[in-house]
Amino acid sequence: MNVVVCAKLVPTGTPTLGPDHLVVRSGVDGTLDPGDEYGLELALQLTEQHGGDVTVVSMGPDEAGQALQRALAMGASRGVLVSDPSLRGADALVTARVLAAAIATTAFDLVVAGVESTDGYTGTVPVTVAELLGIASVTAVRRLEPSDTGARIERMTERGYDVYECPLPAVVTVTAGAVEPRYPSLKGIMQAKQKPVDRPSLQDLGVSDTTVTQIVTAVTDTPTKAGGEIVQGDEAVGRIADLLAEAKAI
Amino acid sequence: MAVTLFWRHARARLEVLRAARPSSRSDRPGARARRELSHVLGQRKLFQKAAPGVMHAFIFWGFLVLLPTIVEAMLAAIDRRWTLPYLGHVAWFAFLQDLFATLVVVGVAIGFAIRKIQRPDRFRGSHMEEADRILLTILGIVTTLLLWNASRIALGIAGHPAGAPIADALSALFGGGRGTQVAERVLVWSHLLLVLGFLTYLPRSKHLHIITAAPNVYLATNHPRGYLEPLRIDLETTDADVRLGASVATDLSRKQVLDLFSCTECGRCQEVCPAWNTGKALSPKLLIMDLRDQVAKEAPLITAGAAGIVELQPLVPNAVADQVVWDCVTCGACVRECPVDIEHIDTIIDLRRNLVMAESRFPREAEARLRGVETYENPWGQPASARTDWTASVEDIRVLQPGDPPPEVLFWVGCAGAFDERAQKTTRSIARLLAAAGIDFAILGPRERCTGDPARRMGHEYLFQMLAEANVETLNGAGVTKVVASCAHCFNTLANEYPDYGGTYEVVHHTELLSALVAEGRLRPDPAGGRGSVTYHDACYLGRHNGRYDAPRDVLRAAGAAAVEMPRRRERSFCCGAGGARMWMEETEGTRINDTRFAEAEATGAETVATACPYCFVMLDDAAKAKGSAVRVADVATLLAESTLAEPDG
Repeated sequence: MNVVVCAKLVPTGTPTLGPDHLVVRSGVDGTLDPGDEYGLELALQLTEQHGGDVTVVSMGPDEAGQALQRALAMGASRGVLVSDPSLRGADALVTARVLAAAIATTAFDLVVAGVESTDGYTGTVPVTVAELLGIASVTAVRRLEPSDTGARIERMTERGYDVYECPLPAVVTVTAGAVEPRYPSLKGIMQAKQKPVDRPSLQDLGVSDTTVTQIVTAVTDTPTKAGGEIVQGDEAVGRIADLLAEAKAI
Repeated sequence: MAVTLFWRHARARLEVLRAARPSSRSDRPGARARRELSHVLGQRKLFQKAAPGVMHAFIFWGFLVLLPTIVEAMLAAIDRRWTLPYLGHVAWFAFLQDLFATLVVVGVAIGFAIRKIQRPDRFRGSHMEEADRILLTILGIVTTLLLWNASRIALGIAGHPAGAPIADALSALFGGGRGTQVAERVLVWSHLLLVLGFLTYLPRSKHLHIITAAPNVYLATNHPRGYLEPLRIDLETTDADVRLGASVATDLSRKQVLDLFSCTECGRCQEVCPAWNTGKALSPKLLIMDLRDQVAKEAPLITAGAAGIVELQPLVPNAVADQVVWDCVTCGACVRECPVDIEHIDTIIDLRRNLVMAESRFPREAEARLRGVETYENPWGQPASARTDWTASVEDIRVLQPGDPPPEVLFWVGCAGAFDERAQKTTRSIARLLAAAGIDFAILGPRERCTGDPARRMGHEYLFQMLAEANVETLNGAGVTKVVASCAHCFNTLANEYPDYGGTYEVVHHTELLSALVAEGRLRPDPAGGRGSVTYHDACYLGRHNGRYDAPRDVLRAAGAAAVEMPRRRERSFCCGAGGARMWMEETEGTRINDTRFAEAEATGAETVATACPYCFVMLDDAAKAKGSAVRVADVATLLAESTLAEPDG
């Protein structure tokens, strides 16, 4: 089973917005989105058990190569990075178009992504990719096993999980905590440098429409929660108990 | 023939050593020679335990004096009239022979008394029959010598009975006739056969230490015990097959292999090990023995040069289990006790390096901390901007900005001191005291990173190296010359390990600086303030690893504390359980090390347990809280602040 994993570079600290209302990405330390590591781990476990390769696909500035390196260090076989100045500020639709086009250049049985990125949180890119590729998608997956008809998938719900039989290829998003992402060894990091990373241009991929949403303004959401008390120190436990009793919670 | 047999076995061992990685242990030969005199000839570390020390010293010194006797016996075995030139005819040498042969008998007797009557737990897991065999052979060698000398006196061959009172007394056993002549021949030959038999047995036994101990002591590190040898890793130029720590036998250094061949299984390390004493799998002695056994088993493969062709078995988990490697708190109690200077910590860290960097195999709960260090440059996973949060309630803390003139002293706050709520209290106390003393100090604030100690002790040498290089660049760039650190681990890393990365500063621990400020009269604690009875817990990385014992005690005394000491203190202090990155791992086997140590502190009856390292503070405070104890745990600096400052809490 060949699996494509979507990976994103996210800022290490709290993302900040620039004057153009876009997330500041240059000169900011970045890392592979922790949310993507679960999907990658699931993909690695699948290919380790059932054979096949993991390809990681990313769209982003040159620095996104770091996210790919991390994914390759964890065990992915090859990477694809689409980087183009015209993609700066790309919204979910443009991102999905680019990713779908990049994924389409590979032979795959399954596409795995995180449920949502931990900087943008739109959560719409993976299903859009599925739509563009014309294949099924299942979100919030906690388990996936190959079956006779494709894959047996457990999808998290508010009350438990549903079980799906899904034909392949398909796109799935994997929930945080579904698997425990491995910590790459230094050996892995060193080997990652030898692994191939393709850098197709938008032209190679046949993507021409990169018109993005125009952001008119951005407002900072004022914290709405009022009151609240941070208790610290040795008396914290007693104080919490008092507060809970006051609120008649205990 | 005996020599050939000896050589055959000894050469096998030698070739294993030659196949090992070279150790660069030739610096400061003078210091090495002095150690040889004190540790080997002077038996200094043996005497760390009284009775076993006397036992060993008698046998060892006896062995030295009796070496020429072997030649004497060889000559006399051929012709009873032959003897050593010079020594064979003089009374004083006869006296030395007589005295030391007798002392060896006494030594063997003490040895048996310890092993058969006292039966200390440190021998658990050691080869007891082998030890008995060795002691009996030694006894045989010296009794045959004494009796041979006695028979010679009876026959009138030895011309100096007055020099050898014991042999002279024993000579009454012999009639002096034909029977004695036969007995003399039998005795000299049995003496020689025992000596030669022993020689052939040596290289295959734990008694090999009589050959390996002296070089092992010579090759011991000259650095303070807290220092680890760097493993340089360059991701750009190193290829993926590079050695990252010790995986198989041939990855060990010569010193590490010599360590294995030097162990006598005496168990002094096991006796003091915090892990072993709280029911964990790790015993430093068993670790060394198990590694030795695997190296010995694979010796034919290693020496045949087949190591590259035939796969050697990984040391972990074949010789030692994973858990054993992770149980170590790197407190150095074992290294300190070891009479032959085995360096257990270095080997354990090398095994960890391979597990972490090559295999990515380590206790999962430590992963979040490693990721924190990797991404946020501190194990707490907090943003760098939060490093100055503790300054909110302290006035005028200068945060050194790029381009600022360097302060007289840079206060290295450390991650615990910056992020841990309890340790922050210590940090504030130190800052207020330094300000009160008029010290020109500053902090790096968000530009400070983890020193890398927890990553390094966990085996992630590369992560440590990156942090060390980055910190050195910051410190050098800021023109820092003097650093005060409040964490014993930061202190050790900055003082001992950063010079390898180009960072050489005058590094002091906060207790040292505070003690000096009190002595200079720049801080005036009110001794009548009454801090009650206080027992001080020596931090491993301040005390045993770096020899700082007095400064914290001086500060406490100045603060008006009535000092009470724990049974295990100073160089024999018992770890809090947090060293060696154990702070980040769960402790599920046996009892908890911090509980054990806190119980010892509580038993002194002291009202307060004073610490000088945030790790110790947190560990012992946790233990106190878990027990619901009324005993207070506080840093030395906080106690001094309470005695010195009008408003110690701001």
